[in-house]
Amino acid sequence: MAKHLPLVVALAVSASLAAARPAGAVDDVGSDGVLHVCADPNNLPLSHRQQTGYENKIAQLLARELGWKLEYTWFPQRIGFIRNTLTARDPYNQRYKCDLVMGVPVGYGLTATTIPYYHSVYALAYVKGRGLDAVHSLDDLLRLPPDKLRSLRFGAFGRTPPIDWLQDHGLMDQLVPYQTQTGDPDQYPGEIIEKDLAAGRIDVAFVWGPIAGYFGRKTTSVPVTVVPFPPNAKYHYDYRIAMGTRFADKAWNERLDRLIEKDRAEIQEILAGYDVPMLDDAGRPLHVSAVAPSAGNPP
Amino acid sequence: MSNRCKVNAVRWSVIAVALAYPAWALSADDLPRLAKDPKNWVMQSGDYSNHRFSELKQINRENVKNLRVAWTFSTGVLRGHEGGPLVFNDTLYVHTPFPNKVFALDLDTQRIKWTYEPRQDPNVIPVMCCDTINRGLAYDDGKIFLQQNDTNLVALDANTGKEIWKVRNGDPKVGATNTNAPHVFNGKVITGISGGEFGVRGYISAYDEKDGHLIWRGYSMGPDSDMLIDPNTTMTYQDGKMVPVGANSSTKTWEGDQWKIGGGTTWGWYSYDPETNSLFYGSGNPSTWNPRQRPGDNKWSMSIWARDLDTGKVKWVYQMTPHDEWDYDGINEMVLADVTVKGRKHKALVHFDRNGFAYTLDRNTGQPLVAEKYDPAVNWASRIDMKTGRPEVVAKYSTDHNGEDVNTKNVCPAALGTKDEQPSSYDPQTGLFYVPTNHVCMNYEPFKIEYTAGQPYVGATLSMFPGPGEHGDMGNLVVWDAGKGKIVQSKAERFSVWSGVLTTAGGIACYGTLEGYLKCVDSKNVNKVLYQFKTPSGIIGNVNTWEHKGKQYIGVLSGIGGWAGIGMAAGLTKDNEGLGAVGGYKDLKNWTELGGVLTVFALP
Repeated sequence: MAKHLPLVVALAVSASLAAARPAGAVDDVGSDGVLHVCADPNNLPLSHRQQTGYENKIAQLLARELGWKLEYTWFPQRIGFIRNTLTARDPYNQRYKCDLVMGVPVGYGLTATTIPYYHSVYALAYVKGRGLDAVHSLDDLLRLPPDKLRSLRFGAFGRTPPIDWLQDHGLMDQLVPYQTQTGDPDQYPGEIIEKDLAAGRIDVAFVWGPIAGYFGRKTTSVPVTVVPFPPNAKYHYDYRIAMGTRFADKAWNERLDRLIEKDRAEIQEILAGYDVPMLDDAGRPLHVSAVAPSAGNPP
Repeated sequence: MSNRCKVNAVRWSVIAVALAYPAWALSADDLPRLAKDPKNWVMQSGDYSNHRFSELKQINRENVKNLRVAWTFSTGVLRGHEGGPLVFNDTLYVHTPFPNKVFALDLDTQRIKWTYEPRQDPNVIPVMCCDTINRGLAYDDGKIFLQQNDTNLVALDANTGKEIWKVRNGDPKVGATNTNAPHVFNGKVITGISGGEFGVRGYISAYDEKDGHLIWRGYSMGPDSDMLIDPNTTMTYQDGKMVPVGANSSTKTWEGDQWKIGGGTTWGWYSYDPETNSLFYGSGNPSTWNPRQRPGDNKWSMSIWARDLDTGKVKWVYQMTPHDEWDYDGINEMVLADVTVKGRKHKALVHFDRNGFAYTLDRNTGQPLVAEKYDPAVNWASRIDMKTGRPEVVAKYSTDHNGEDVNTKNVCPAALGTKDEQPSSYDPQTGLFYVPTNHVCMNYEPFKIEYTAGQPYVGATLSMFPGPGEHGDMGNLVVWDAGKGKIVQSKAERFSVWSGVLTTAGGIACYGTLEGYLKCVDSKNVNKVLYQFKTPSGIIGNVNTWEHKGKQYIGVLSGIGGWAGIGMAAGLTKDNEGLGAVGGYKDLKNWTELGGVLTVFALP
């Protein structure tokens, strides 16, 4: 059955119901002194129900700045995420399940977005000492001896831009395709490195940079090298990530903009602590020192 | 002995038999026997051929105007209600969307005889793309079969609701779920799978109705052995004739291993021809969704299949939409009928595809005979080339051709198709098909960034709007001549007609509308509305009929939801979609709210 469409239209439904809601329903963000966040319970390094992801740390920072308590509604960030979280109401008290989603890309259709708070890129990862140590870019892959290149198995997620690159270079027959989403709440994209790359089921993993950076370091059974790609207009490797709010909550969105501006340095330190490859506005690598080891040492 | 005494004696003997053989001790040929009696409605489509036609004619074109509501039943569930009830042996069986309850109702009193409520993992809800609908139950051999959303296929004692067996038909962890109704053909429970948007590789399975063991499973793509294709004897249409498919007919139309997450799911309405022991069904869209990333024909997604019921072996297969770029799943119902094409009568299969073409094939050979548009607005392909069997795709409506930097505008039909799963009806009296359709087109805007499980990528936004026409109507009830490939009549509807049609020997065709009307029209002139009644919610269920104690009833589930219910609301706040002035989708919220109710009608 069809895919992304219901997401878009579900948003419209919720908005219309909101419009029809009788006066008196409490929709003022923060009126209860709580920062309500919806997040994936199991997708490190982004978020986790133990609040160990960088989105969780940044949410804690926001809550501290606002002087509010922080509460979560957990839901897998897959098809139907927004319609089941940010634009869904609790059936008993009619309150929205949350007022904030910590990470959505700029250009997203399903929520309003704040100013971006980081800019990252896709990356490739491989295990050191298996004949790929000279690879420091995508082009380096193409410079490998033909026999070596032809022997590689490339793991990549459906619909992500590295697939387009593989296609343009005639490497699709070597693709090990991964589902962009599964139905298993215990599964997360980082397993492509942590499990399959480490075990040698694939030779090169293509994955979104923040996930690659984190699992490249976290995977200790083998040494892993992570190579972020430079931005590329043709392949859309880089994306700016913002926070997501309901379209109607304009004042709330602007308040978040101001907080992001104010706390930008601290947010970047948190991200650096998770080895998120970051770019500056011009698309050049952005080097930020992580905060003190205790906070910057992700689990 | 007087006649009266004779009657009594007969009655006594009947009771004695009943004591010896409880009412439910029925044999495996139960279903065909029950189905023969038009007083029952014992399969979702009424028969093996998917006709949705009833011989009953107590309610007819003259008196249908006097129809009244006889009784109603609330399912207590708010999600979209597709499918319809089964009725036989003084009992009505009705299902609900998630959590997939089953109610057995005593037709004499409408008392609930039993209720079954499965315990399902709520983790399955986020895995379901388009509402947690369920298209209904099946029956045979004293058992009610329920295909739960979480892929468990369950056999319940029809008399008590007790679980007899349960098997798992798929793995929700990879995104597999079920929405289709199970179908029982000759002792086998046939069921499909959903989850194409997750990349689930589709398959169809046959389970033994006695104990639930898997007899065979045939995939929609992959190695020949997975599909149960014999390269030498499985036939397909090529260059004007039927030829063997040859080796690796699927894998050679994909790059690398992409077929492993290739889609082609199977959540529609299947049919069965006992004469040739053939099962017919359709496969859905290929995955991944981005067509540019899966070059090739992506066989055998988007195809019509004929398999041997006993072995699953593929007799023939025909791909309607090679390399789909529009989400035109090929899963809609396969209707079996005798159709005369160019003076020659064929044992035909008729299929109204999401892609806007109605196909008439010889079901014994698999040869396409007719393929014509059943909505003139269809524009993604100019025609089906009857020599190659392939659509002639119009470049400006090809999202793949246009690439990621171009809006592809005014593609007809929209992704939800000229018709989705809502099944048509074949009336053998008129020899015509009564087809519930969508008249909706789309723009495909490939600029939006999508974000799934924390990974961003360039996606697309679809916006839907009414197809061309003066009044902004979004649906039609189309009367179709499958031999000529021509629209005979068309009745416009404000919204898409997303309800299965019923035709009867009483000369009427009945269907539901998204506003919630049950409408009965004259089957010879469908623009003549003979009766209409506003049920409690929008209708995406299928109309059916039965007789109880000498009285004919018509029943329909209302309960807006499903893709239609969500999709129809698309225009509500999207002012940029040109819907503002049109009376179409924008209006739906003024007509209906959620809530599942079965409404049963009869003459006074």
